[in-house]
Amino acid sequence: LNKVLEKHIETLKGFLTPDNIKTDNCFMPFLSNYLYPRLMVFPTNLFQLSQILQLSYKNSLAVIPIGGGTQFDVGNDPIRADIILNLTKLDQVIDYEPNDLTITVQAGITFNKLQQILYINNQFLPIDPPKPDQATLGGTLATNTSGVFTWQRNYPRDFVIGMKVVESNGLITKSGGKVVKNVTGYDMPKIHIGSLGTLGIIAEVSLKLLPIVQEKTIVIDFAKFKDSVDAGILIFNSHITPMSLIIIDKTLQSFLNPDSPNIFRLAIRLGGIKESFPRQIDELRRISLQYKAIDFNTPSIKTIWNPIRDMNFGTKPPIFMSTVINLLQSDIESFISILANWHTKLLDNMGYIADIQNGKIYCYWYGEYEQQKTVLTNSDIFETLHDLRTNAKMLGGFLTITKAPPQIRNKIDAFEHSKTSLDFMNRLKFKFDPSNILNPGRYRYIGGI
Amino acid sequence: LNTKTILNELRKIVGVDYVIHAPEDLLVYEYDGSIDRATPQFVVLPASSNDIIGIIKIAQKYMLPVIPRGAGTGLSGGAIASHGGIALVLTRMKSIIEIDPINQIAIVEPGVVNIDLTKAASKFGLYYAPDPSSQKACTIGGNIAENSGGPHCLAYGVTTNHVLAIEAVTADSSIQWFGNKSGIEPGYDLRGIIIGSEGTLAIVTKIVLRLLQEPESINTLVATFPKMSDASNAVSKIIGNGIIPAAIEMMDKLAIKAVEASLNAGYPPNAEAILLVEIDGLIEEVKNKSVSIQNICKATNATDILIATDEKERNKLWAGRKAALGALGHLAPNYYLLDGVVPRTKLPQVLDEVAKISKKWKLPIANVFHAGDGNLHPCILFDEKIPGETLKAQQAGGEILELCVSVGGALSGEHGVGIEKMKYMPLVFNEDDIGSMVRLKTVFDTNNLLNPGKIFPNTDTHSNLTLTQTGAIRRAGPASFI
Repeated sequence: LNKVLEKHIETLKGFLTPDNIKTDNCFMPFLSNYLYPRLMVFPTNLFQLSQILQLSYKNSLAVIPIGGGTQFDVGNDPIRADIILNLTKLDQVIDYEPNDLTITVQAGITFNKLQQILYINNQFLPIDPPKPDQATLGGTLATNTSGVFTWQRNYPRDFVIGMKVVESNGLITKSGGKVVKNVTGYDMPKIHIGSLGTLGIIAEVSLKLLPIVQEKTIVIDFAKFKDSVDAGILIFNSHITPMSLIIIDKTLQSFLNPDSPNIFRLAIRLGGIKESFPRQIDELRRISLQYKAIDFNTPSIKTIWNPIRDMNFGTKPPIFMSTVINLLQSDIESFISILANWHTKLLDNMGYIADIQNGKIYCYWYGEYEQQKTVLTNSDIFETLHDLRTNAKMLGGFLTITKAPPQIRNKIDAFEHSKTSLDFMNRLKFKFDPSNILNPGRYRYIGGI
Repeated sequence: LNTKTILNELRKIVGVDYVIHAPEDLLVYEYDGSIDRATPQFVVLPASSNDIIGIIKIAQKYMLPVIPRGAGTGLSGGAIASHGGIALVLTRMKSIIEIDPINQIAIVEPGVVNIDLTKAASKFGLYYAPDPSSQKACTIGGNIAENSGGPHCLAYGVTTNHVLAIEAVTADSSIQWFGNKSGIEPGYDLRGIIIGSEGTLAIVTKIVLRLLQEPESINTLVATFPKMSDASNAVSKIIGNGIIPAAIEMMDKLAIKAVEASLNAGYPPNAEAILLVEIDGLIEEVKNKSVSIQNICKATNATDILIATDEKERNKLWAGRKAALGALGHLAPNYYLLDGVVPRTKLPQVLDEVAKISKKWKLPIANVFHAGDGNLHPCILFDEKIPGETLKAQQAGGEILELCVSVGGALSGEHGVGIEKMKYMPLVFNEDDIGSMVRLKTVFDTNNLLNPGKIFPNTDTHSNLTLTQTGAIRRAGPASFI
């Protein structure tokens, strides 16, 4: 393999400048410690990206695409890693016509850079991934990252109107276009969004945008979870259509907002025109009284939402493991009451955020894993994750592991695939990446492993 | 091919009444709302997904194409049996299985008529957002196949944005769920790729849809303009000012004339162009946006603004828009309807060019379309009885599609490629792009059993298929389409 790599590097030097090839210290903290990629490359245009993949395909070298590297905790670890394909230098705006409310950009652009460009024209993209200073558009789409902030409950997939992808053999293909409504050919971007870079490399993306909205945050504090969730469901079923509607549990609340600990906090992020806020706030106040809220406030926006978005990366508290459980809104309460009746040590160190708007429960285990290990065995952790997953499944939902120590993540599948469509997924993977060189193993049961 | 054997096998599955084979009965299934026509060998109406599995097995055995079909209101030939085979008509599978008002979702069978879902959901103050103008006839299954739009997709997105999961029978006669009603599952979004695949990847048998809260307030207005370019400038200014109404529809002089001649919708008959704008949402939002939109219309030379004050007036204003295409039938014996889509800022330029194409070919072209999305529906009027005029209409249509693509647009906004636009696909996509899509097709359907001869340009021609769109539209009823 070394010989192949040496030759490979020589060929790459033919079209990449020295600062765009890195051959030492390519170990990435997110890779399992037995994987030492020899090479990191930074394509600066589509042609180079295509060339790199053509070569890798020819030499059967495993390619690990990365953007800001913020979402590597999502999914399983790759099982091979020869080349790190760093896309952060593909970060240009290709075409922006503000009056069309659409933009076409290269996938390596960070969210902060993208949103700043849009902000100048009073526009934004309603996707808010963690660490937007590092997170790239391509990475966010490949992982289908979507937090508690949504517009009309839409996911990242709903804002993509066109895409250029470089396939595993270097072929550049496009689909969709720059118009907001388009049924010309198959909706190919859909298979790449959420594919974890296992079908092709997202290189260019056209997006539909929204005009900037004014916003207002309201927090309502409750003594009991039941009251907070009932109030939340009532809001979900009202004319109030927030951009976020979540409950922060007692435990996390005590960390996030030490000034008002030990309460369940219902947080609502309204978006729209400011003239519509007073009446919505009145309505929320009525609901808060109906469900015996103990406090009602309108804090400033940044103080509450960013720490929640960046929870997996936070230090207060440090998080060593996290999961997302997808459920119907009406099942959130039953799931939490099941948890309340569990007596397992692992739940002592867990806090959660219930996303009423999108039907999710984000569970966070805090503390330092090394310290935890003295009281918790790994089998305790496996058992708890397994039980949580079984309960989610019984309610028709599913659990995804979004962060875990290496000792855990290598021994339990991060996802639960619906068994039935797995055959099709395998066939799709085989048709688009026949030599399994793109991020092999990230989807454990896809790719013929 | 032993027709009698196949007939008996099909009858065994769905019963004698639900297999159509007599040539005179097959005629009804030769058409959809497009210009093309072809006869299937069999028409089968299954009652369940099990029936469909059985039918697919027969199709596999005898290598017969399967052409899924809903109400047959499609506008691009997607439901035409251009290669013969079995037309699989899903209209018997029309039950609304569940409406879950708390979680705001519905589970339906593919044969449910679009508007029936909204009617059923309205009991709970909910509705289904995508509203193709054929919504009184078209089915949800057909909407999934075409990824249908409609006037209100401007603010709320097209079909794919409202589908959480689908159950489908695939060409290997297996049945499975794609997607999950609890959210986006890990793994590839196969639901997303089946939506809009025009029945070429799978037969959808159950659908989980998102429902929306009925808006608290709705405001509908019609602004009259002395010139088309003024109206399209108003559209650009509204969007450019950061206002996204629920719908912005435009009609030109010819379309207005047709509508007013067939029903009195109350549009100013001498207007060169009108905009029908609807704003919905919270009371304050609607009020605020309505004022801004009226100001923009005035600033772009609107001569008159008509505001609906109640539901009855609103319905009247919409009735004209929704019946526009049917009404155009009064102006000419035939018409060829296009579905090109362009960046919104290119509307004035493109409409100018369309007028030039109309002059060049000496064929009147009416425009009635979703201006807010940049989704044009130029309607070329012609008479097939005049020798050569059919060909002229097709050539003019081709020029319009080329024009849309040349300004950065696409061939179809909501009607699909079907048979009609296959040959124009190379305008937008190169061989590699199309190759990638075809590869995707083989993931699902190696033997090209499902709806063959659609979407992808190939050696097939449809020159022998006659232009009968008008006839098809009449059959589907007057208040339909676009």
